[in-house]
Amino acid sequence: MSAISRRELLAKVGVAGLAAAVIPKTSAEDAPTLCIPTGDQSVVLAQETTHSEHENLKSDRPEGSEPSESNYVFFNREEAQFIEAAVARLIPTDQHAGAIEAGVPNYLDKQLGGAWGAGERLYTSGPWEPTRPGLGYQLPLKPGELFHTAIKAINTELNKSGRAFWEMSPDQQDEYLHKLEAGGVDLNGVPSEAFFEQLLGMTIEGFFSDPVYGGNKDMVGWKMIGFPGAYATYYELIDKHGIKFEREPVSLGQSHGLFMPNPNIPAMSPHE
Amino acid sequence: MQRLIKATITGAVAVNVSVIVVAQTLWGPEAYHGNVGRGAKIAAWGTSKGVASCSSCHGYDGVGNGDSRVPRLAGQSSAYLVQQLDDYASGKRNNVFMANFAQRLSAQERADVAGYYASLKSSFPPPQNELAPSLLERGRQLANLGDDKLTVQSCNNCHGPQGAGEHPDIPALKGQYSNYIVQRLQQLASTHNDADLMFPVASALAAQDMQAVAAYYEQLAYSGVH
Amino acid sequence: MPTVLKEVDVVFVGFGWGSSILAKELVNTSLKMVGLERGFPRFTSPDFQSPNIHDELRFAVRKAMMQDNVREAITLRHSMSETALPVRRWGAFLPGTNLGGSGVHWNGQHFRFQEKDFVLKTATEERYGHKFLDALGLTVQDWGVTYQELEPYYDKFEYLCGTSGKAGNIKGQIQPGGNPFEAPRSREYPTPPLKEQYNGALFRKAAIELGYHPYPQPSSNLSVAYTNPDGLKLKPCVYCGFCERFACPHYAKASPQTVTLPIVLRSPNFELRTQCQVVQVNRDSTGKKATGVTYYDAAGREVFQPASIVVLSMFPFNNVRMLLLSKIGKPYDPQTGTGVVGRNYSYQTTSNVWSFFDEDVNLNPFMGSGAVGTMIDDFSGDNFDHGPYGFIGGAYILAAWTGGRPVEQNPLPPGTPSWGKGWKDAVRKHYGHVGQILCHGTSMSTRENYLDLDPTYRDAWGLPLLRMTFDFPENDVRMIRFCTDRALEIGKAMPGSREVSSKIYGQRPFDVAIYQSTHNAGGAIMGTDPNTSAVNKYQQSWDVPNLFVLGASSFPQNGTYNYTNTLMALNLHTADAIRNRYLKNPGPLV
Repeated sequence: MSAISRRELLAKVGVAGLAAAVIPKTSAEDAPTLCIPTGDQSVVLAQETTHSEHENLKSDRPEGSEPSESNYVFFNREEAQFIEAAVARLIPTDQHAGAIEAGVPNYLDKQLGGAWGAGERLYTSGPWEPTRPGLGYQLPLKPGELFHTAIKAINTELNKSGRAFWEMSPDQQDEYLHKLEAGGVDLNGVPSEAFFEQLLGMTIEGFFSDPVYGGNKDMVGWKMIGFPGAYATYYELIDKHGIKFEREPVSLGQSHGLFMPNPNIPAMSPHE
Repeated sequence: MQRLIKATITGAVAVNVSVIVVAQTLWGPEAYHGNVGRGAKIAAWGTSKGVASCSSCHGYDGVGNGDSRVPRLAGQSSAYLVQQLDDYASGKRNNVFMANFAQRLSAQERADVAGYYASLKSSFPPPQNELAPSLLERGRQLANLGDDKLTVQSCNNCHGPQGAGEHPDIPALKGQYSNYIVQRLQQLASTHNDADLMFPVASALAAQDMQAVAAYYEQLAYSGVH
Repeated sequence: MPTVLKEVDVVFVGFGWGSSILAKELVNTSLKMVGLERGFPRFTSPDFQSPNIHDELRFAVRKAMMQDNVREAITLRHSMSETALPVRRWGAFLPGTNLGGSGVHWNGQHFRFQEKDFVLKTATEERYGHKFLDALGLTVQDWGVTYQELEPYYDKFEYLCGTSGKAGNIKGQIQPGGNPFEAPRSREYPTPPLKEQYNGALFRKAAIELGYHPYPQPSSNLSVAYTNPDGLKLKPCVYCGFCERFACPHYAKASPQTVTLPIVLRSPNFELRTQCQVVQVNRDSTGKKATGVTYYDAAGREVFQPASIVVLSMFPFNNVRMLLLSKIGKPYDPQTGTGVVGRNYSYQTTSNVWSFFDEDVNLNPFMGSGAVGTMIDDFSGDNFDHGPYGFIGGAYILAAWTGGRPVEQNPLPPGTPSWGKGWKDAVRKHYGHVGQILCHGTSMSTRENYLDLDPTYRDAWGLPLLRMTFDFPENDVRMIRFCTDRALEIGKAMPGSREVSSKIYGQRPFDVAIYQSTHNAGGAIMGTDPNTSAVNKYQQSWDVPNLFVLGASSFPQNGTYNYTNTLMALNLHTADAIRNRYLKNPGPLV
């Protein structure tokens, strides 16, 4: 765990945490709950601690230090290398987790390998004409195809110059991404700005969508901004204007499912 | 690291109490925050203002008593507990017995004792009654899905995953005594208060449905039947 | 060869708000009714329960409740000189599907139009003169029905929904706390206003300071528990922040599921058929009588359902498409300005303003609801003198966070990098500390904005897609710029505001990729003259008297406000006419 100054802790922990910290017998590690934690219930609904103290004192894995595991079903090796390097620049790691720790590559892989990548809700019939301002997406490519095509073009081009994207320095990578974003680069038929827009959009989705989709691991994205997640009743709170809301976020996966006939099948990933 | 933090914080608390009082935090009432050590003393011995010990009914472990419909307090949301004490004191929640205690507790004392009970992680006794599978199944359905014919939404919508509560305002139900839950539902059904979230739900439940959902939540902590 | 079923009295095409309220009003007659819905059945319990419904990715980003573009999309072009291209993914507007339609995932924003809206041409010419209106190049029309005629139906729908609000004008008496500009209503709202968000409270202070008249937004996500005149119960909204694009788990949102379907579905005279795609309204050899509809069922079998009365109540532009595919009514020709089907298509003209606060100002946007705003009508419709400005119409200015969903409801100051450390720093700094204001404005009809069938692109049944020819008229572009400037002034005046920014969606070219509003209107408009309207004031087809076309397709142009209440008032007005007059004497009602 990283060293933390007293001032930092006082600033982060706030009143609630201070009071909790003077409890002689309990610490945030045995944070109070109404439920006995069972084997498959790793969530603890902290009541007396702020979430930041919770992380500092409870977790033995410092936030932001380990990448999430990914078993790629859609990306091949070179694509995965590009994606991992690219999303690490789009949402970098700093004092909070970035795209890598949040599992954004895994999110992208499962989305592109699933219904979204195969073109759900996309009218794909031709004829196809280049888009015009205000007319949206017009390529014949489904999202999965778009990524395959664009990344292959990028990797091929960069291999020619002798340096793959993931071998560049961070500054060089940023420069290259800005170039894609600005447009004007043809990626085997995919305008680079169209690819970049999808890549960035899906990266943000992967950082902030519910962890059941494979990203926002351990709700690091939600914790960074203070978004409470899937359980949402604020009837008594909405008119307490300006109040600081610090409940641990909760994901869809923590409900053990609405419809669970077999209690031996956990509704959460074994990695959680 | 934990010990180091506690040592420094204790010092800070002793010296700078006025700085710590912040009007806008979520936990506990607006102007105060509960001190668990003080709360433990109130729970054990009561106060000099003639408040008997909470533990004589609710237990020092906060486990309460299902037969006597004394609710479990251990691990409940502290803000919710404070709100109940406030409501008992004002008469908004009608209980002559609890009103007597609540009125004699200062706002700080309410926060303290609520904070103490909230901090406990006491075990759960086995459910009071033998539970018919059909009753549990109905309870499970209401808790997780609701019932469209009754226009009742799932309890967990508000009461959280497995009824663990949505703090600060919405209490945990998991492991609460079914007798107590049923009684409370009956009280809530009789308020006729359209601005209360529980009135329209409780008043839509027949006696058997109240029994079912209460039984389901009681056994959830002990048997773990989801 | 299609399977031919036994004739029924009424067949409904599409089963959302419009059809279900008409069916509900006819349930006490002995009429045999069939509702055909292309999507699936769904009900509050179990289908809309938490936590699964609180899934931003699935419902807001991937649009799970919306029409499937794979099977049926539309095409769009900005002017007649261009080729229309498919709207391959929904963006600016999100037509719904499945039982209950858009009534399930609407925001519950429940407004009445103003008196002048129904007589817009006459009222504008009266106030500003013929020349003023002619110079603007608009084809606005009077509706053929007045606010006074609709007032009892507005009232009826509000009381069915239990709408939460504060009246501003009861029978001509201005009421404190309400909207002083509103059209006169006969009585107070059925339930009191929602609680006010912090965002709204700050807006209120600023608006008052600037001399405006803030009031609570009327909401059909209710403030308290309510039992409606039919005995149906709704519950209080819990401000969960997952309203538009989502369904309500709590029975707090007025929707077909909570207000009409419980009555309709328990009637023995009514049969619901889902997964039925209607492809045509059939007529007899005279062409003046509808004989029923043809549809494909879930297994792809062709079925003909004969009926004495046919009701089209789909998403508005789908109504228009059905008329065109069925060759009912004269298609509009923009070159000559003749014809009526596809004429006067309009939309909604909008913008956003954001106000950025310090990090200790917690606006808690995730504590939201679909209609939890504080707003002003000082610049709506014709509430101010347009003489100096050279445009007509206006916008309401509303402060609201319907939620604080992190993927999509996360505005950042201009100049913020779109990615990288700079982006991350900005998100950390600003999320939860931004105020949001919306300008929601009128949309005027023009000769060039219209609907017809696309010559090239087809749906999964092989039928031509609807083609939309639309861009914002210059009039509306001027209007929204003016109103956005007013909103920026208010945003700056919100106590604690450090910086403001704006984004105007109502500009040319219309961008179909960015969400704006799902209030597409017109194309089968109502009026007094069959040469310039497709339906009469009862939404009855001029050409085929046993065909009724319900919904916002009837609007000659679109008003300032979200239009559900208005189209439902029209539908209740239609229901009365059918029940009390048409059934006794079938034929043209006008």
